Formats: sequence, C-alpha cells, structure tokens
Amino acid sequence: MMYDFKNKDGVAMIKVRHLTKKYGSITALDDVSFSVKKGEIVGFLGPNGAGKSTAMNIITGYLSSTSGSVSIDGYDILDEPTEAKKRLGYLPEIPPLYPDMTVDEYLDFVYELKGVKQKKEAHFNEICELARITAVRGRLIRNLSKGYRQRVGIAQALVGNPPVLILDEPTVGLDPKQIVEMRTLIQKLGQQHTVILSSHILSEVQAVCGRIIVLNNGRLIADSTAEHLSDRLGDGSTLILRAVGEEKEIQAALQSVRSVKRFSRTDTAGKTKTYSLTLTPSESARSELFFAFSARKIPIVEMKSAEYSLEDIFISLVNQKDKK
Amino acid sequence: MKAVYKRELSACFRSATGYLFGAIYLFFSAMYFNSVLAGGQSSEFPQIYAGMLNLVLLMLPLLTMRLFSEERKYKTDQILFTSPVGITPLVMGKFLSALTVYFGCTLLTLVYAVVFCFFASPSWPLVIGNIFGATLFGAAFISVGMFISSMTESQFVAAMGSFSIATIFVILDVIPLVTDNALVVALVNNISFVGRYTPFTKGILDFSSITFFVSIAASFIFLTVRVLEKRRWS
Repeated sequence: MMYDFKNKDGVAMIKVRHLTKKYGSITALDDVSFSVKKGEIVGFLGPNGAGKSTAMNIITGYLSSTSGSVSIDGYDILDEPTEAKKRLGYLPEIPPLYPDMTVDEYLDFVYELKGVKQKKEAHFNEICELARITAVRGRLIRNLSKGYRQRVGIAQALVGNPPVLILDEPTVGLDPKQIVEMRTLIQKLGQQHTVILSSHILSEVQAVCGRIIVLNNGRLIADSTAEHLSDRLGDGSTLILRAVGEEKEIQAALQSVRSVKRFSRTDTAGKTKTYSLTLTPSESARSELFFAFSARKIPIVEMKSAEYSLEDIFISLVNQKDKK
Repeated sequence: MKAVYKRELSACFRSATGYLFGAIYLFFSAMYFNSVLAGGQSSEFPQIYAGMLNLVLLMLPLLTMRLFSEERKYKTDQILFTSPVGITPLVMGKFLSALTVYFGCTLLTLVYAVVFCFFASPSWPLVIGNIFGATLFGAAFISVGMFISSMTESQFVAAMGSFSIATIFVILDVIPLVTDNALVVALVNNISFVGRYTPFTKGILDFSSITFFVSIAASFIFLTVRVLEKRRWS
C-alpha cells in the first residue's frame, strides 16, 4: 500500500477512499472513492443536496468524515492536517469574506494565516491579475458586487499558489459574461493546478472538466470522461426521425423495417411527428427506412443520430441506479 | 495565531465595538476616580478597579459576543478551519485580541494614577497589582464569553448568554449579605469572581485567586477548542 497513491499515469494528488458522512440518521455521503491525478480538472456533478459540498468540506478538512479517508499529495487530512492543508486552496459555496476589510487587507490576512513565504507584492499582483480584481483592491469587500466577491474568493484560494484547488460552485451568481471569464480562468488554472469544481449545471462541467464525477443522494454513480459517459448510454444506435404523415402510416412504415427494434413518439407538431428509434446495429438501416417511407409516400423531414446531452446522461444514470 | 489576532483587533476598531467599550469603561472608571480623588487616600485607589468589576462583567460580552458567532454566520470559519493552522492557535488569537482591548482600557487607568500624584502619592505596587488582577479577572470572563460565542451563530444569543452569566455572578455576591449559612457563604466566596478579586484591592497577590482566574480562563479556552472540534464531527 505504500506507493498506493502513485499510479502509472502520474501521482494522485487527491485520494478519497470509502468516504461516508452521516448527519444523524441522514447519510450525506455513502462510500465514495476516487482519486485525482496531478493536473486534472475534475467536475463534481449532481443535483442540489447530492453531497458535493459535503465531499468538498471533508476533502478540505472543514468537516470530518464518519468513515473513510482523504489524502492530499500523500498527506492524510486528519493525521497530517497542516501539511495537507498547505497544499489546498478552497473556495467554499459562500466565499469566506470579511465584509469590513478591503480586498488587499483580506488577502494580507489570508497570506499570514496560511503562512505563505513567497514575496508578497509580486504574488498579490499576479493573483489579482489572474482573478481580475486589480481594480478593486482598495475597496471594502462589503461594497463589492457578487461577481467581484466570487473572484476575491478565487484569489483567496490562490494565495500561496497551492497545487490543489477545490472550488465549490465557482460560477454561481455570476452573469453570463462573468461565467465565460470564470471558465477561462479555471482552464488556465488547470494548467498548473489540480482542480476539483462542483456544479449542478451540466454544460458548465462539460465546458471545463476533462473528467466528471456524478454524485446523487451521496453516492458516486459515474466517474469518467464526458465522452465515455455518452458511450455508456449509446448501447444500440438511436435515431431521431421526423416525418410528415398520419400516425398509423408512420408506425406501419417503421414496423416494416427489420432493423428497428423499438420506437416511440417523442413530439408532435401538427402533422409532423418525431420518433426516437432504437436500431439493431446495421449499415443499411437508414436506407431501409428511407425506402420504406418513400414507398408509403411519407416524407422524411429529418433523420439524425441522437446526441446525448449531459442532461440526458444524468437523468438516465440516476434512473439506472434507482432501478437497482 | 498572529493573523487571527491582528484581524480581530483591527475588526474591533473598524466597528464601533472597541470605541464603545473604551468609552463606557473610561466613563465609569472616571466616576470612581472622582470619588477616590475626593477621599485623597492612597489606599482608596483600588476602589477604581474593585468598583468596575461588576460593570466589567456586564460589559465584556460586548467584546466576546462576535468572536466565533460571526465567523459561523458569515461562513468565514471555513477559511480559518481549512487553513494550515490548528484550532487552538485560532482560539488563542481570538482570546488574546479581546484581552488586549480590555487590557488597553485598564492601562488607561494609569492616567488617573498620574493625576493622583499631584494630590497624594499613590502606592505604585498597589496600582500595578490591581491592573494585573483586573486583567486576570477579565481574562477569565473573556474565555467564558468566547466559549458561549462558539456555541451559537447569533451574536445576540451569544451576548445574552454571557450577559446572563455575568448577571448571575453579580447577584451571587449579594447572597452572603442575606444569609448566615456558613457553608453557602464559603461556597459563594470561593466561586465569586468579585470575591476572588478582593485580595488584590488590599495589595495582596493571592496565589489561590491567581490560580482561580488562570484556571477558569484555561478551562474555557479548552472547552471552546472542544466545541469547535466537535462541530466537525457532527
């Protein structure tokens, strides 16, 4: 077990093993295990109350788990908290800001609290530039907008340049332009840091993270890349077909094609009906469909293979697990 | 510890709290000084401190109420407890910041001693001994207030909690006046903050009193650490 945290692709910066957290009778996290390699950007995805924040609070040592362990760069968060925490930058769900301080004073406080040794001026200039808060450094945090506060929160996490960044819903409360900026920033940070970020917005995780961990009801229900997640669902090939005609005729046409395993109507707009078809893998399926429909004089308006958005993936994963 | 200490101290004077505390302290201590001055006896000087004790008990919640409750309310405790600093240094930083403000106020009473010089010669050991005693007295009650602040996220609840305890201590001293029961009187005299202070007013550095105040302070600092530690596990 000694070299457990190392694997062939690199060193695991974050290693979470069998994490369980119970609040009385409520289980917030249920046997969650995963590890994050150096330089990875991992997204925690899940609906509100899935356990994302709890997991982050345990990883950063704010809460303790009921059972299981967390290590950062090989240091256990409970056994060697000082070493582990030195390597962490954390942006909690609500940025931990003191409204009565100016941004500079606040960063100063964090700098001293973390016992950072780097040259202060140059370091602050750099992180303020990164987080785009240079213009507000002299202002009281109380008077800053939500977007700026969020960015001061990011700057705070960057003080001391820790190798691991844990960001809990970093784009919450930002306007669309700021969201794009925040994504760019996180991608930039991902070049030098190991990042875990959480979100309940799927497109956001998709945009930034190379790897996605899906949590639901405290359990880890998927852990893979965004592409792999779609592959997992695309067991047979699925087609979306839109045709103009009577329902009976369309169904007859569909039934006449051998490679159509199942079909269901998903939408109706006047005479145009949309069907989702599950096909047995076959090269000729599309042409068979075309000829079957043209023989019955039903025009096909659209035929395309279904692309899953993460929304679909997520709903299907949750349902799959629930059935089990 | 230093970062938290500095931050707390500056926060105290960024808001009105520090000034308010100082103003109330100076106002009432000046009134006691006025009566001492009228007497003109050096031995009466400790009356400034002794007279202030009950007031100090009732005033200290002002300094301690926000120590931890505010951190919890604004979720800023998340940065404290995820930083590479142990809980004990964090608690000590907060405790010492409140003690510093209070100590600063007691030091201001040296001005009275200087003024007193013009009319009589104050006994300097008595003055220094009383400042020392008053600081220990404050330290003990600050730790109690801090402990209460660590248990709630409402400043108001924290203030009322410490205020109630302060009131109990004030009322406690009335009990010996209305009862003859030796046991009750002995018990009250032993746990009364004000009673424990009495030797200082006589210029005695009573070891048991010093131990009393120091152990109260240490116990409640320890309990505060435990409360904060326990919260992580619940």
